[in-house]
Amino acid sequence: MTQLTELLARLQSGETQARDALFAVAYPELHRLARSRLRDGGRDTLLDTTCLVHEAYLRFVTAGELRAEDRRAFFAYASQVMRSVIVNSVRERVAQKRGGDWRPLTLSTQLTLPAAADEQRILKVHEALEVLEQADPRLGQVAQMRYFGGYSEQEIAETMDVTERTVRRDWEKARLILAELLR
Amino acid sequence: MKLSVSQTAQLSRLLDEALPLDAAGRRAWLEKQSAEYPDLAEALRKVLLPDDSLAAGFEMLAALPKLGGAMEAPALTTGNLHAGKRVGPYEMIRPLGAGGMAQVWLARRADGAFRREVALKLPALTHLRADLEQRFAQERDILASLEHPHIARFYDAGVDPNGLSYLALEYVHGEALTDYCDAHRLGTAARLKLFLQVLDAVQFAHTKHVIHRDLKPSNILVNESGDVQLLDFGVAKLLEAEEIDHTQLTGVHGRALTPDYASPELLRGEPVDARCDVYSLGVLLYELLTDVRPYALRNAASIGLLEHAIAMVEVKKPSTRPLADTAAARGTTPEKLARQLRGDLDAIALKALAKDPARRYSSAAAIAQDLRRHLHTRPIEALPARVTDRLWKFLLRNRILVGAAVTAVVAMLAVLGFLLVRPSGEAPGDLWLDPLARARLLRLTDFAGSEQAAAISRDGRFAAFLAASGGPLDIWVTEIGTNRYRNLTEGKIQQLRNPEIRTIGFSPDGALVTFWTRAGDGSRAQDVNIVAAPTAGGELQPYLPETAEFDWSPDGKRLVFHTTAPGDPLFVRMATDVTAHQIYVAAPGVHCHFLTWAPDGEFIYFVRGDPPSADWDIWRVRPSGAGVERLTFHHTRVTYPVPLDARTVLYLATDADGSGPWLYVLDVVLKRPRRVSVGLERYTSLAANADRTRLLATVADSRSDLWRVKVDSGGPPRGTAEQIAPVSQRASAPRFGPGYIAYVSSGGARRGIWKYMNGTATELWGDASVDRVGTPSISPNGRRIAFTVQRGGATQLYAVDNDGRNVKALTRTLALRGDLAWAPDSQSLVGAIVSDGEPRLARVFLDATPPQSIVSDYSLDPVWSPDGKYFVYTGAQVATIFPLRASAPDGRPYNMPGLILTTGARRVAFARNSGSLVFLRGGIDHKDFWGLDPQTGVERQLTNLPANFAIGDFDVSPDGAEIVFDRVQESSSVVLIERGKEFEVN
Repeated sequence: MTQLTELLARLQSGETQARDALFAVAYPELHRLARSRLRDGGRDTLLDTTCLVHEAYLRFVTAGELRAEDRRAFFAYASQVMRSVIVNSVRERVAQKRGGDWRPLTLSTQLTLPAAADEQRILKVHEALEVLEQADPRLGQVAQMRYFGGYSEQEIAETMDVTERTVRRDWEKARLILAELLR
Repeated sequence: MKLSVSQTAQLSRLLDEALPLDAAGRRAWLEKQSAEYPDLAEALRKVLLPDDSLAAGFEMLAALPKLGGAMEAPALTTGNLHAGKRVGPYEMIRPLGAGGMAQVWLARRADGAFRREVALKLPALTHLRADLEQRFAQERDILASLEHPHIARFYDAGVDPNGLSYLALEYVHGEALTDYCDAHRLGTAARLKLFLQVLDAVQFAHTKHVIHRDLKPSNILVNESGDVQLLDFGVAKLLEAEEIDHTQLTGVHGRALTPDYASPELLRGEPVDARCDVYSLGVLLYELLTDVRPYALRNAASIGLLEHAIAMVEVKKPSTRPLADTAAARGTTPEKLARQLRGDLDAIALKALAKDPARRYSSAAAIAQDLRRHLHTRPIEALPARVTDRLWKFLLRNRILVGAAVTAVVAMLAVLGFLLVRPSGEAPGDLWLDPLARARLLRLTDFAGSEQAAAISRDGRFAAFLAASGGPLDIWVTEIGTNRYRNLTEGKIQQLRNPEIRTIGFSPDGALVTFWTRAGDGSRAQDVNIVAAPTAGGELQPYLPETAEFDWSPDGKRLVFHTTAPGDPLFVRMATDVTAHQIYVAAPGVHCHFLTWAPDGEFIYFVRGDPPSADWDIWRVRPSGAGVERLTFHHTRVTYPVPLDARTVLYLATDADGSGPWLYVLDVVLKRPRRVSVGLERYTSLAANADRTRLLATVADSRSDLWRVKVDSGGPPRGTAEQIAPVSQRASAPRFGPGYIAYVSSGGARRGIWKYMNGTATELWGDASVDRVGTPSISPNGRRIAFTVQRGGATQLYAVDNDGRNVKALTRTLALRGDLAWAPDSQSLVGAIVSDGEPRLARVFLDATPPQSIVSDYSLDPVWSPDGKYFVYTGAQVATIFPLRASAPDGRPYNMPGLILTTGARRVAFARNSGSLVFLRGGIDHKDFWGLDPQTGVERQLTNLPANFAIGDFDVSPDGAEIVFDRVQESSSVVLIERGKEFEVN
């Protein structure tokens, strides 16, 4: 078994230290994929995170690093990594702009995200999500998978092993709470 | 409103109570609860009785840049649209449906100008594109002119003052084509007739230069009159995110384009033409004929896997798919249906589904023509090419072409090469279609290590490459055909290897072998230089200072090179000058490598990209610096471009999934790449001589061999292992029988079970159409060998005598997994059968008796003890480890010392003489054999093998004196590809 599979298994069995190791493995891959998707894109290039997660999953499976059975665990986790990828990029970019030396972002390490106002929004949503996650982990997971993973209700239901109806209800609740937190 | 975590948690809990209530109930509930939770009172009220104060929050959520496919679009939740709402000149009547990308409503003209009702499609776009109106205006006229009896009319498109974009289309009332055919129980001929209507419509649109791009059953309706109506022609293009070459499948409209019907080039983001519709039509035809789609994936929700399958997996012929249900629905038998589909219809479907657009039908009309010919039992266009295609692939796959003796087979191939049917009037050059046609392949080297970075002199006489044959990495040179090799650097140069550039070359006259080298980390300009060694051997000499790569023009008069300055600037200078002109430089951090002149001297090809992310592609520039052009859009590792002529370039590229590198060919005019190599060999470098008659490549492959190591039951662990020499290339899973070793061979075309006895290896059973052969299990009396065979996802149990006779196969397929073990009574086998996703050991019989369950938990890979009293097996994996368990024949647990095995080392075997259990232990690349005494629990190390022995499966000899195991090693070789004088370039 490979590092990834092992880490996922440990994470699922409750070992939280495995999270950092898992992050270290999955992050560069997803970041690289995200970057190559946004490369050459103009202002309106959009980032389909679900596809990225699928693609990363596929690469890991083809390289023998993941088994097909790990899919659920990987997908559940990948949206979290995607979130970090996006949030980190936004933070970098915001910091860079403040630093005054703003260069066009071409083939650098940052993602090319659209307008500046959106950066602040992403960070605010990220912070609100952090609160929600700690308050109600399942709601937080659903919200994260929707926004940062871009998964459909069916995919979330499948990954979290609950019914679609449950996902819908959770999502409605999460939306309300997030909107309240963002007020 | 800043709530703390605990407050938010409380809020969440309370909402569970209150959300199910209606407005009145909520108000009542709020009155009661506000007193108990004063700090949450305001938040509760805002959430439960929404007013505008939450709008800001919702707006923020909704207006996020679109991150995923499932996000809401602003202003387009169902609440915003209602009957009677005005959108542009239309008034909504009722909703017709909604997909991920748009909502569709029945609408009519608000001004009553036309009484006809339309289907109003409202795409869910989050960003208003500035030029959307303009695009609509451009396309509107073209699409509106598509008047055809089988195409739903496009009336109008626009953006209303509120920013809502809309498309007005003919409202068609009907059933999806596939549903209609099923509901009316149409037979094959009737389905084909409907399909011909579809082809007619698509062909008409193509002549008007409108590609559909999203053909699928839900877009092809059959109306009440039984006529086909195609919907959404040209709509996909209208809603595209960007008009650039690499249109993302996941553009503005998320994953609106169904991957099931999308062509490989569309998925890769390459430029598409009418043939992408041909592909979708192929999928549709396939589905109409068989009721299943070409790719059999269990869980098609995994879009990434589907995309991978579409791009890489070979489609199975319709007649070979399971047809029982389909035949029943058509009112015929599976045999009759298969016969109907076999031959013509198979060929037509597969030709429409060819992954390479050049191999597909070039138009919908071409498919229609072949279908009509079939219906009139005339010969069709689709058949001849496929036969030679398969033969070529078969020969290449068998590695018959890679070897010292090549003759008769190649001659036949040469003859057949003429018969390859080329699509007529196709734009790509002949060379692109078959750059290796009539080529001879010869393996030049036999080094044990891995060779790389091959180079060939201009006259094609000498080959140079990097190799480490048991020692340091050096540059070796050989005169091709002499089989003698000379070491040019003899350990004197430290840094020679750099997979990201072309490191070795020859001077134009062939007298010198040039190579790249680096001092330190290369941070200073003077650290990177080109050094040369005389081809005949001798003192090393400097060649080009402060240069990373270079190439002389074909006439030898000009030199192009790049330095390591930021952006890898490219320079050109005359051979006689000292000053060089910079002709191109990339942005800092971007690199330009593999500079190569085209044979006509008109262009310099190079690979441009970003090393850390392995994101490269081929570009070219004229020697003057003009005409910078990007040619490929792989976004992966691309290396070693070798221009063959003015419009064809060979190169190496890895695929999006990381596999490869494979050999590719590019047509530079059409910017269309195509994979050339068909086997599993990975190409690690590529070079050509001046007239391109000879190509040199290094090819990497892995091999699996059998080895033996002696075990001394009393003495110290042994450290030497020697290779057993069976004939086949991939030998694995050895098992001892009386006087012989049985093993699995998967090299070459056939996979099967072989026997190694007295120094010779013979095949006991083999078959070419098999996906996988399981480990041989030898009966207690040594006479019979049982094994599993996997074909197309189904597993069968086979048994054969130890002389290859009496092959018997259980006709019923069983979901067997892992190793089998004969029970001591020789009447049955114990093996794991998978049900509900879990393998569980059961007794399996060689006649038709159904299996009997033995172990109720997860259990795999049984091994019987020598005395037959119990068998051991591995339990479920927990993290990296597997517990070893033991069971009596009836399934009762048997007491044994605990043993924990790790992944990569799950196999155990008994040594018959001592009764000890042998297993593997150690790090990933350095394992040794250990023995466990089942009575006492004492463990003892048996071997002391060197590192880098990738041991897989093994068995212990009956006398316990030796262990035979399989070992995987990477190997590579230098291969010469002789393309023949016909391909000389002047």
